[in-house]
Amino acid sequence: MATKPQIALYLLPAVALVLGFFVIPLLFIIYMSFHQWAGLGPATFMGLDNFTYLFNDNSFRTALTNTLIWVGVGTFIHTPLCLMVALVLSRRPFMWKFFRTIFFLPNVISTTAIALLWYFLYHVDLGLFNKVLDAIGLGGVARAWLADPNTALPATLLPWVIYIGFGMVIFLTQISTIPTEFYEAVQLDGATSWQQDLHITIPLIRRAIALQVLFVVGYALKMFEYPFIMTNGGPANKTINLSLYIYRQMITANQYGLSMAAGVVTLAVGTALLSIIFLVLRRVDS
Amino acid sequence: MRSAFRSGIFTWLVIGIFLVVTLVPFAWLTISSLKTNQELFSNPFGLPATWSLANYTSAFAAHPLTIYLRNSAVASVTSTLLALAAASLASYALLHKFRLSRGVYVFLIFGLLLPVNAFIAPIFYIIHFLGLYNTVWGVALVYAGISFPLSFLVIKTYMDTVPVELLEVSRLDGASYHRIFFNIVLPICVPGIVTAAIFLMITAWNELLFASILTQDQNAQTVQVGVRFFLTTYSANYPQSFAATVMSLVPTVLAYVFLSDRIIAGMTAGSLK
Amino acid sequence: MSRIHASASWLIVVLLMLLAAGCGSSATPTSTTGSGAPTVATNPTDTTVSSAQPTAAATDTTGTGSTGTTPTTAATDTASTSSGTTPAATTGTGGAGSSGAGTTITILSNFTPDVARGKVLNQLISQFNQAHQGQVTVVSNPDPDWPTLQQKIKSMIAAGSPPDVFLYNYNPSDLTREQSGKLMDWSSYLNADPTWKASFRPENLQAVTMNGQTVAIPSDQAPVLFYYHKDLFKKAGIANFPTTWNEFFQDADKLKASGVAPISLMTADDAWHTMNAFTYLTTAAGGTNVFNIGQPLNSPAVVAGATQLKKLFGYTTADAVGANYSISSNNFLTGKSAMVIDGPWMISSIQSASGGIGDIAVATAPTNGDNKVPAGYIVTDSLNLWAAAKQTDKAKEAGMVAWMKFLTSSDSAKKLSIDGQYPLAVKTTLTPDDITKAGPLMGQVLQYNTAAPATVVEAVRNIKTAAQAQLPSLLEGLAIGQTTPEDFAKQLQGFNK
Repeated sequence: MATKPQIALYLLPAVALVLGFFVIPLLFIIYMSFHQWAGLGPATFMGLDNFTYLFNDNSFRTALTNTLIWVGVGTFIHTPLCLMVALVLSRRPFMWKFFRTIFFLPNVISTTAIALLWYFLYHVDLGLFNKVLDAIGLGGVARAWLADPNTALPATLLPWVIYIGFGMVIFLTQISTIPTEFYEAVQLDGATSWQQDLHITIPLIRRAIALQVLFVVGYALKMFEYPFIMTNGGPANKTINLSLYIYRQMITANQYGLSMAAGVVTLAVGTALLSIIFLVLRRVDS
Repeated sequence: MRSAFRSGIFTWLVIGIFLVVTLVPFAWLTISSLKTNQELFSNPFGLPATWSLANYTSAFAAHPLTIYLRNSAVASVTSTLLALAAASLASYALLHKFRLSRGVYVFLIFGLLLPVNAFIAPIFYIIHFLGLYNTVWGVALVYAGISFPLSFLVIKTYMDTVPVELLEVSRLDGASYHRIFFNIVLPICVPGIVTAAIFLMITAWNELLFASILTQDQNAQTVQVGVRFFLTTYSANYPQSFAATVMSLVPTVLAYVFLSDRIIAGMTAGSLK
Repeated sequence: MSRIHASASWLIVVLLMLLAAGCGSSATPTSTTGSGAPTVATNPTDTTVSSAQPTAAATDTTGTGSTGTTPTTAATDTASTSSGTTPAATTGTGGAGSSGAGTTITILSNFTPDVARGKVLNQLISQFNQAHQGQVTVVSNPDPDWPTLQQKIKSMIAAGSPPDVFLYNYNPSDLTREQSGKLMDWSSYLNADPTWKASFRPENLQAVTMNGQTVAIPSDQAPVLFYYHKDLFKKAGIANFPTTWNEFFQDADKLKASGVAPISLMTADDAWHTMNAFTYLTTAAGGTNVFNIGQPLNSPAVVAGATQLKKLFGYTTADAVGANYSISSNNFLTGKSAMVIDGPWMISSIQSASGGIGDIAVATAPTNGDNKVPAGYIVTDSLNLWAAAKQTDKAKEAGMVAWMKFLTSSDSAKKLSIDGQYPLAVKTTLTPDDITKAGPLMGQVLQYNTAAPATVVEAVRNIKTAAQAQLPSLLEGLAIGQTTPEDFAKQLQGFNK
């Protein structure tokens, strides 16, 4: 039988990592969120002042709203697109494995590179978008996509929305576990493939859908590269999100206390969204 | 059969659209990276007049890209080894049920749900405290830490499939706790560990936020940090930064070409449970 | 298997360290509280241009200064700092010289070896290293991106380990660096060497003296002027650079009609080019003291400046909103815009731009034609300073002092201003020959700087970091018509509290 010290020894590295990178940081930001601190010198206890400041700060409110917009777009536009492609490929058309491989490709590439790529695509002079618009006679629509307050946010969201590979694979994996007998009965009834999807496939992969939404929430809360590289939150904070706000308060403004208070709000938002997903999943299950 | 025809059209329409939106931007980037600055502005569609790697050579000359690539490689490999070691050891320890084992399990995976971006300030201080600021090792340690919960989950799930009887038999044969781990459990778990390794390598290679706050010069900066310098230093040279961007994604794309199925499995491993 | 075993045990050691560290780290870094506000004085300085010649005649002056604005007569400091520059970047170590024994001192600056000042710095370093072989080795670690460099320095100080020696910009509204308690005190060395001390302006030293400790050595303070493409002006039918803002906007219309963007602007990072324009527009409306510490930023002058700036956004490139320094200056260098308001480091970029970029001249700012500001007045960058990390190692401290004395010596300063286009804020005498060697554009800059009847420190450099962090979004709000000039001024004042 394994002795306690042996088990403890094997657990030690893992416990150290979790303590060092999750537990201590968590306690640290909760503690510091009640303080004003410039990163240098002593911290001053502020009570809830940081939080009051945050919710009176327009840029923070925009950051929060934008993060929720990311979650919303991810859930209601991106996820259905993933599902659609997964359903199409689940019928195993010619070369479907090849297409699956291609569609997954952007997930292997760093978000930094993708953000840079799209920054170039949107470029006002040399970007592909404006050149295509010019070429098809729609030069009037051409604009500085990332600097225009009406298009900046959708523009930073677009690459994420259309790179459907990750969700598609999750759905495909789940669909492949559905026994074919499930379909045979309805096929005899003459159900179209669309009806089969609606009545059999989608209900059976609802857990995968919930999982995908979970990933969407995680992704939206962690998303930093797209706004940071494409717009740095601009124009006029139209594209700022929580990650970028935390970064900016810490690195640019040296307001460590505020930065960590924003971190605490991010954690709270994350917890709330996860609870909602679990609640919805439970209701769907029962 | 009309409807089958129609659904056939729909199928190929969907596939076609997503092929275009996935591939055209990358193709455009790659082709543009072979053009001169003037060509890029005057003729952004066409193929370059001469196929030249000039932008690539000048990109290497303008910034220490080789060093950035090396740093990325060191950080990815080190963090992967660290996370794998910690995760396998802990998974093995939890094969033995003890009073707190459920609690320890929850403790080790609770970080899975936390948005770690909220922790940039404390992690910055921790790395500084360890004297690892502005070193690849600091970056690697952070990557190991923040991706530990997921690697643990993947390896634990795999290790749980090891039959308990096997452990019992070995123990009766007189194998020690350590021997069982290294000679029996680890070899069985290689596929699970490989899956986690792929996921860890790719996430570490692609990470930007922590790499940029924990490093301050080329001794430690990774390629994701370095590739932005082509746009933030004097005279934004677009074709050159295109070339640098292409360089930054070549390693992962190359790996993907040869190992696509394994990589897809590795990247989506978190959805096993 | 043994490999895994080895790595596992190594890992355990590392993680034990982490565990120990984790426990310690929740304590906040040690505290320091600063003295009261310093008696501030920033001032352009001190390269005396000797003898009358086409370029300039002037004797050294001791400008009387209070922050913000300082009427001075002569002052030809030029030079550089500031936002980005350089194509080829951080090629690590600068100095050749000995790599042998002794202590190593690393210098953080934006002196990359591809620009003139970086080349000179590397020459100076190898000269110094040779003279101190076996004792001290100086190594340059440049970063061309000024805002990033400044953030990096702040982060390092915040984490308790400042860089050995570093270049930073003075901000009377943000003395966290000076008051951190982590910086070396130079006062005893300055007092021990009166000649060295006398080569700096007293008010510059005063600005960085807290609690009797002088925590930095003045480096430079660059004049910010209008650089413009003469050929593009001619093509648009403009003979001379405008002297009033009314003329300026009429000329801008002509430039626009000729198919070129009149001026380079940007909103990212410190919004340098845009804030230069804003500082000129606001001072033109309200006088040179509108940005003095204590003056409200929602004053009528600021509103007037913001109104004009909003108008100016109609005369810039399509990519100005969101552009950073490199994009904005590149627009000027490639002739996509006709003007840029920048420091003399722009000259180095002009010279190294491939294929020549036509006929470029430099001019002082327009005024409103009233007597609010004297014609020929100049906006300057902040005072830049060299500081060093507090040392326990006396040998290293001695090495730093030796290096700083060498860098700010008359010979080095002369070399930096002529070959490096980077005059230091130390008293040096330049002959007309020297100035000719510096080139025509630089000569003109020196001349304007010498003749400037008044100077104002650029607005972005004197506001609080919280306000600096908001600048990009405030300016973008103004540019895209989302924010009124009144709101802009009100919000700026709010963030600067």
